[in-house]
Amino acid sequence: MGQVMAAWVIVRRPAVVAGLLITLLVLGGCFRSDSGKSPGTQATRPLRVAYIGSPMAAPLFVAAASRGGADRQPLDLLQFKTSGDAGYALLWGEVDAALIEPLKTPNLLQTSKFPPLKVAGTIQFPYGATLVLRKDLSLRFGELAGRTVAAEGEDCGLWHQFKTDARRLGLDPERIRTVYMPFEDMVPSLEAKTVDAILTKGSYGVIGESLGHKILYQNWDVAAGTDECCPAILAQTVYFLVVRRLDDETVARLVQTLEATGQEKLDEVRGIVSKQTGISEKRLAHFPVATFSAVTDELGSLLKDHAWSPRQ
Amino acid sequence: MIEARRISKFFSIIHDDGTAGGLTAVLSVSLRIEDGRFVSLLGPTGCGKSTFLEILAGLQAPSDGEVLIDGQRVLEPLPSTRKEMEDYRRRYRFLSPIANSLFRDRPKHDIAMIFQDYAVFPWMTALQNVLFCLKLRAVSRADRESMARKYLHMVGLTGSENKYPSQMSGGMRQRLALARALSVEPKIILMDEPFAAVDAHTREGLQADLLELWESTGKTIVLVTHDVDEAAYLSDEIVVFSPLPGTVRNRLKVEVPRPRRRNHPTLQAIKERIQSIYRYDSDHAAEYII
Amino acid sequence: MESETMSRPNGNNSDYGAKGWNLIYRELKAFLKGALGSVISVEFATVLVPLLIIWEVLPRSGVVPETLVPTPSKIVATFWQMLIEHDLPHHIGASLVRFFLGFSIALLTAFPIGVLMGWNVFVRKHCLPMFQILAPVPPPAWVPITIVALGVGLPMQVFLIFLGAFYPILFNTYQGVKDTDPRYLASARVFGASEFTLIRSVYVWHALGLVIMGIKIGIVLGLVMLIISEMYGGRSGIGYLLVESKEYFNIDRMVVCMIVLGALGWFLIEIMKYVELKLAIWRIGR
Repeated sequence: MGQVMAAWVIVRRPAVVAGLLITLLVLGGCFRSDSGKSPGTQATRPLRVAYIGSPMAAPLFVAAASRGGADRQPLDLLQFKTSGDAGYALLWGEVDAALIEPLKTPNLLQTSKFPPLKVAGTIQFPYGATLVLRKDLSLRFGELAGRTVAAEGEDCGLWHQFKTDARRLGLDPERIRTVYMPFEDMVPSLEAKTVDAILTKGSYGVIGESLGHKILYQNWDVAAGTDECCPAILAQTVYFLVVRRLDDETVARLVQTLEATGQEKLDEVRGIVSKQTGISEKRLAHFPVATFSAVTDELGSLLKDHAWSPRQ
Repeated sequence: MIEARRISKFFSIIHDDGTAGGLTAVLSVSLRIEDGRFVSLLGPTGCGKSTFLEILAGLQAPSDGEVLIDGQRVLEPLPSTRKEMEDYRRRYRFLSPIANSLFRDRPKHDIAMIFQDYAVFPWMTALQNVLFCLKLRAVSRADRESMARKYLHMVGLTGSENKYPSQMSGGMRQRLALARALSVEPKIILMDEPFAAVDAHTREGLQADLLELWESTGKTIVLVTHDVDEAAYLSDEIVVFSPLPGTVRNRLKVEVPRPRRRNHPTLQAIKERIQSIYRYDSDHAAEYII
Repeated sequence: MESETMSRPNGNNSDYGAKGWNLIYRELKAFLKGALGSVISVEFATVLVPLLIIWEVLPRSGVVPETLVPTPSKIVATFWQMLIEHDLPHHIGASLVRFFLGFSIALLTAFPIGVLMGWNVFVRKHCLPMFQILAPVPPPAWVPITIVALGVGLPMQVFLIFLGAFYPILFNTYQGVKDTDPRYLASARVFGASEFTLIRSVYVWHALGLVIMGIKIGIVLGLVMLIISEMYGGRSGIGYLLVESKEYFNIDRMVVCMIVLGALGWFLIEIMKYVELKLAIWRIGR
């Protein structure tokens, strides 16, 4: 009886059959992506981590490439165009962890109450003052008079260091037109040609250089933490590692794996980064390498509830 | 003086079943209209008299024959041989022969025309409509407005100068068309069934006004109509057209002095004669071969 | 003359003869009444107010995550903050300037070309096929090649907005002029009108309805391209604010940007509707 009915439906009501098929397809598509999100999975399931293609993600690259022991957390790296997209992927569970810039992280942490997002560590890079010149201009350091340079703020330590050094090198800093903007906006401004050069901190200098702009001046001896704009812990931070609700064991293993990348030899690290980002090793040799560090007490006190700690 | 010599107009058409065919709208019509006469072209609907009128006005080119207004040819006939066709196409590839010049407003002949469905511009007020036509005739700006108002007054539209045609009744719109045609003070006025779409009472009023204007100005008027009464009441001469293909069937002179009564016996006799012509034609419907 | 106008009693046959400021004030009043009239009405309020209440209550009570769905009160507060502190007027101004630049270039090129193509078969046969080939490319697909050719800055944005607005205006003008009733052309020609007068006084006026509709569609598409171009380049404008809010996870600012954009589009369309009313006053009789 049931078979007769089914046959009748299929033959005489093609619209119904088509509708059922489409519904099944759509539902199947919806639920397929959920299979990766089921909680309490095996220990060796790879974690999906979102990143943006810059040499600053070095610890991540090394951790993903190494073949190390049973303690290692296997990783699946997913590249996103912007960290905003990575953050939304994190919110909706398409990735388990993401590297997000410090300026964007507070808002991100606030938008997700359930499940809560936590910061499990930071990627660090030396502070350093770097002057990056726009790629289509070919000026020497002394010819910067009259040009527009972006700086973080009037009180910024980097800016003071630069002015001192500039006077020493024969350039009058008063003749430079200054615009103030946060560090995050500087490289995009350079790309959009709204400024001629930027005075930025080390990590952004490297990013700018990897995009083809020229570094005219670099000073790694600037002490971090001397100005209000950037407390020491944030001055050296390039990214926060933000994780979604995962069990403590997995997060601990992730942190451990990333910390272990600090032991690798610099040449090997540079080789891996060069393969992942396409920047030549020769270029990378000019700069220090980014390192991962777990949440320190200082950072924990800054982030309060949002910092992940092993005693969850 | 309008002189039409052996005007013919052929169209190629596609029948309902997809075959191509030819349609003769006007077949070898020769006509001469003297100055100051009121001539009616009479015929059943769709017998090609409107086409003939448009050929007289220069809005369509005849397939054969020519029209001379005051000795000047209106439009050259359409080409008949292949070589002529290529020449024609090359000469008129940018601007069609019906068009006036590109930038200068210049009427080719001193004629005005009133159409079947009024064709007054709905985006201009009555006054602006008349001013537009006056401007085309290069009347100086100072005179334009006074002339426009004078003619609007003449047709009885004072007070409606600033109304748009959509706000006026059918009869008023026809008066506006009449005012436009008169304001340019042409020698010849061509009318294509101007009173067909108004009710009988308005029609009689308009006819009386038209007669009065004609008598006071002495222009040549060529009126196309299918109404026998109208033709008989208004005109000096009636040219009867036969149904498709349109040829001149007969020319009847109406020699009744004006002002005429509508039920004058001579007029009745003329009407009966025309109606017997029609009956004969429909009884002995002959096949016309091109 | 000035004192005469000023001393005339209000509302008493002031229709003809109001000059200068009186005229502008009267037109503005009529425009606002027409534009806001359909939105601010009792009937719509009975629909809108319950929706607003639901929108306000749901996030607060926790049914919907509060951080992901901002309440109307929060949106108003953010809007106020953006207005005062974050230079919202400057961004709106920058967007508007770009939009008008691109749109006016599109109007000034598309309208004459459309008229010429509709008027003359010779012109049409030569020009129309090229536009018909290029038109199906969706304007956003032009973005990469525009960036390659013009860089990332004002020329790129103006060009993209121009592309968005050009085709609707062109094709609608062409269609309107082409379909002009031949009776009007015949009656004007008989009186001796030159082709130029015909275009000026007959074709354009007859096609006005379609032209204005084309302009409205052009405005909508131009706004779309405005947002897309600001997302890809430049550092100012509502589109840029929108993308920046997304990057920095400011959901409430995103919603404010969307509302501002919607209001902008609505306002421009209302202006066009008013222009149509003023120009096409002869249609009222129908």
